[in-house]
Amino acid sequence: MIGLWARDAVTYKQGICVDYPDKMLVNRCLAGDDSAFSEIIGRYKGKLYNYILRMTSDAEDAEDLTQEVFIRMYSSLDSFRKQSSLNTWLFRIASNICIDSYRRNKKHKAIAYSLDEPAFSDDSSETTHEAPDVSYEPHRVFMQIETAGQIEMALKKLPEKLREVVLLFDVEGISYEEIAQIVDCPLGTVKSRLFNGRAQLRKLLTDYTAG
Amino acid sequence: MHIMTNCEKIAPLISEYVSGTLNSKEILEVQSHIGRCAECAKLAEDLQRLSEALRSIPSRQPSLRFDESLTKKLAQLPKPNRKPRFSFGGLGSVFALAPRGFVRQSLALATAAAVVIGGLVFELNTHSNISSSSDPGLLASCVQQHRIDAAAQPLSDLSAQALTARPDAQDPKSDALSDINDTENL
Repeated sequence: MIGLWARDAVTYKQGICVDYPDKMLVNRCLAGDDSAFSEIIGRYKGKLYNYILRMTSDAEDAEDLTQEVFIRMYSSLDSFRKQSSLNTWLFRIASNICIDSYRRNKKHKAIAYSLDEPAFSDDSSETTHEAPDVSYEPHRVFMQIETAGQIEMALKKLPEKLREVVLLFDVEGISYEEIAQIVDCPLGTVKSRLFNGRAQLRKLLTDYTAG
Repeated sequence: MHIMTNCEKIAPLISEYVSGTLNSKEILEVQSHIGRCAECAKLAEDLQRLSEALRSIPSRQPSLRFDESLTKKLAQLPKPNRKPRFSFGGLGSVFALAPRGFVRQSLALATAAAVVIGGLVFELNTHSNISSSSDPGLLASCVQQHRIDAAAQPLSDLSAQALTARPDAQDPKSDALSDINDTENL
């Protein structure tokens, strides 16, 4: 019973509301309350910006595309059916925007991804996307903790579809089920992409640490 | 034809093991394998460290002009025509303390139904009292009373002039019927 009552609970600190559930904010937006929309922006701009920045590798593009997420949200809030969480919906918009941008932007062609092609076109000995060689040079040591810079560089080299799942799961902490909704693919594909993405990152970072 | 080794089969499960999404049977299966296989034990260790490293990547913030720029873009958009949907918003304060879901919606529906039915009953009763066909005697007596009151103060009630101007010598029955049809005075 407590659960029923607490689900819509609002957190107050020193009498100030600090934690409206997303659902309440959406309802307020739909009722025409612009301050609720501002609150959603404040709550999500950092997360979305970081996700898009790591997908596009361009700070300026990332800002524009993050703004585009909120613009699309503002324009299409009426179509939000609330069957998924606001978080899932916004990341889905962001994912679609990244795909659109990726297709538009030719500079990303260098990391174009095809399931039929090797992950790294400049080296024909590299693994394919869906069947990474997990036994890659097992004698090599993945000993030292990689710096954030090395990880970000390795992330950039991941194919887009693998990168987005790694980012959503490992960086954003979003569940498999939600990721399946965001990227619009079966749960098994999410697990497979996460495994392949991690395996490729492992290999890239092993290369870095090996000098 | 490539035949998958046991390690290749178990590797995806190791990734899920690191994610913490396996059931107890699968956890035992993975633990049993990595207890015997140094290569897979290394994979599990590496993926665990990788996952932790990814979680600790520092966040970056958009520039300071982000909000201002977004506000300008939003201001250029046509205002969405968001008509308030039918909701129990007006009753929100009443139901804010009630449990959500079925019980809460049922309470709201019951209240809404009671209000609508109550309104209909009131409306029907009101019309039946005033209706000329249901009780002409009552209406006639009201008109008569109004005339008496107006005659007592003829100058203070302009609306009564039309009634007071009528000849009082008429038969009360025919008088009542004619006044009933005179809706302008009612």
